[in-house]
Amino acid sequence: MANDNGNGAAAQFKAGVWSDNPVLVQLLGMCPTLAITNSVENALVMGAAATFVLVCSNLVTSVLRPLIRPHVRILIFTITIATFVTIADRYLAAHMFEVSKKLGAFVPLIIVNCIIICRAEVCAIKNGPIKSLCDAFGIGLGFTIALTILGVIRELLGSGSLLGYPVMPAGFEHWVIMVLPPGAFLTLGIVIGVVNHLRLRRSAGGAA
Amino acid sequence: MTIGSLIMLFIAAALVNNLVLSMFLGICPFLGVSRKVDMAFGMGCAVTFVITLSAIVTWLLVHGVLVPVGGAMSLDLSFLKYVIFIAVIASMVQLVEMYLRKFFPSLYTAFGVFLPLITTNCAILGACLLIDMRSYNLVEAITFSFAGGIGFALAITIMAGIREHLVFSDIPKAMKGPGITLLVAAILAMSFMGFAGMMR
Amino acid sequence: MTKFLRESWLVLTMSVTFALMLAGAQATFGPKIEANKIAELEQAAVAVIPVEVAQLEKMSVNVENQDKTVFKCLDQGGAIVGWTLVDSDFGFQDKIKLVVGLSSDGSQITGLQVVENTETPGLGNKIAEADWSSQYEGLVAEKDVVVVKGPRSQETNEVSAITGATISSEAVTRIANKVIRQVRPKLDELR
Repeated sequence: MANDNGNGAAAQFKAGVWSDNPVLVQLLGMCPTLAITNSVENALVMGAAATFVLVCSNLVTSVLRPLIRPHVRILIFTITIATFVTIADRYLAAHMFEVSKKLGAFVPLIIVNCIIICRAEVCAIKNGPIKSLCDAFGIGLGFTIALTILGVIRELLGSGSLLGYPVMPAGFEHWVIMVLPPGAFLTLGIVIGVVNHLRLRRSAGGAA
Repeated sequence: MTIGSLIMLFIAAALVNNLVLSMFLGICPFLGVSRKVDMAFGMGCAVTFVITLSAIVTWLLVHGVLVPVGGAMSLDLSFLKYVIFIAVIASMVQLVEMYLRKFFPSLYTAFGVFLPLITTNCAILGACLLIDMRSYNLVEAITFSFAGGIGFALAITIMAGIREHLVFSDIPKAMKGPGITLLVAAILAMSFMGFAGMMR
Repeated sequence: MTKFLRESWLVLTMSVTFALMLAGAQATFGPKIEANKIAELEQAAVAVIPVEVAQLEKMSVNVENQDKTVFKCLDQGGAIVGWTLVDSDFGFQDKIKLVVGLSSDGSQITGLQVVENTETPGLGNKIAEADWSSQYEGLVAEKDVVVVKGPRSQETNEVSAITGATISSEAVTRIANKVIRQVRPKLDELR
């Protein structure tokens, strides 16, 4: 899953954003990626919420790692993540009520988002706080970038706007399908295809 | 809450608002386990079982414990919901695993690593959350969760059937695997959208 | 017992700490969340009354074993200027939640606003647009509202369906008719 290309925190951060991008490379956390990317605003807020949970969870796990015994670690990860997700969900409901309604059940669903539990299992439990933090920020940023790419495509073509501001010319007929489920699958499939193509080309070019 | 409304709820949860193709829950196993029809069907059955059981237990915990205890202490204990839900689901999966290992060992080995993966299947937590958000009563909760599981099983089995045939097609290298699966899912989602008018 | 504690002290301590943190979060954010939810409904309730509403009194009537929310809209002097009915039911895709405003004597519909819906974007979700829902203003509450395709006639209590979204339009009308029919007879009890 995660390959540590180079030691050190900075490399961990970079890997999280590009070469180990949680959505486009590792294919984790697909449910929110498909569900809430019908507008850029939703994508950004979800990315921020997930990054918050990831950072807190990685930090707690990393700091407590000498005390965590192997056979209770999943339970500890789960309750840590559930707690921070609840906090994030409450914060959004209080201060960003409209967006929180649009995100609906997908904020609490961050709890079962494989990305977060994966990072705790793969990185935070084995590394010190600094490296775990950089990993969390990197993966969080990678996740947000993936969400935003989809959000931009879907909102632009489906609603003719970006962040609510009309962008496309008035004569543009909205591709309503893009804000509906089939459009989500379609966009993600094509984006992953493009990313795969770039990666294959790069590894073929490197080998040549 | 009549039989008619329950039937409508069932159809809505299984077809119209299919958990996978409409509400985007359970995508990871949908993409990961849908290579062979028998595996997919088995996963669908396991998920249906866990989802219904978890829905019942979480509903009972919320309405039988959290609300009365909160009422007695005049506190709103709903902030503990998420932690309780996920703890229940994890335990349910553990129970199913132990049950399978004892009574159906062949099925247990066939599933391998997928069984603990059901815990992170957002369909289960998602169904429990939706039941809570929509304030269903117990009968509606059971109907909704069972129908949701059936819908998931349906979607994943159809996808497996398609993918078994796709093996013989010439797919561009970059699109193999998740790429083409998602495009097929797009078409499946479009076809399921056709169920939408059924509600009235 | 000591072995159990030795194995699980970390889980127990963390659980207690987290429960306290969550309780803190609830205390911090809880009131604001409640205020948000109330404000949202109240904003819609006031929007469907043509006169300025100074006070909203939230009441509840029991119809067919269900509690329906009704807002009594009062002006500065405490006189009733209108009523707002709230209801939700299945539309084309999922549930539609709407508020209907009635005049103070309950004879006229003063407005309608769709508060929550998950209808098809670009088609069905046009029911949330004021351009469409303003058709309900001035219609008679004693008779059912009727949906027609094409241009409508106000004299016969009609509204025009959205082109390509007949079912969503009919659903809104059906919900409005139902709640008016159920609650109108009970308005006198609430005065």
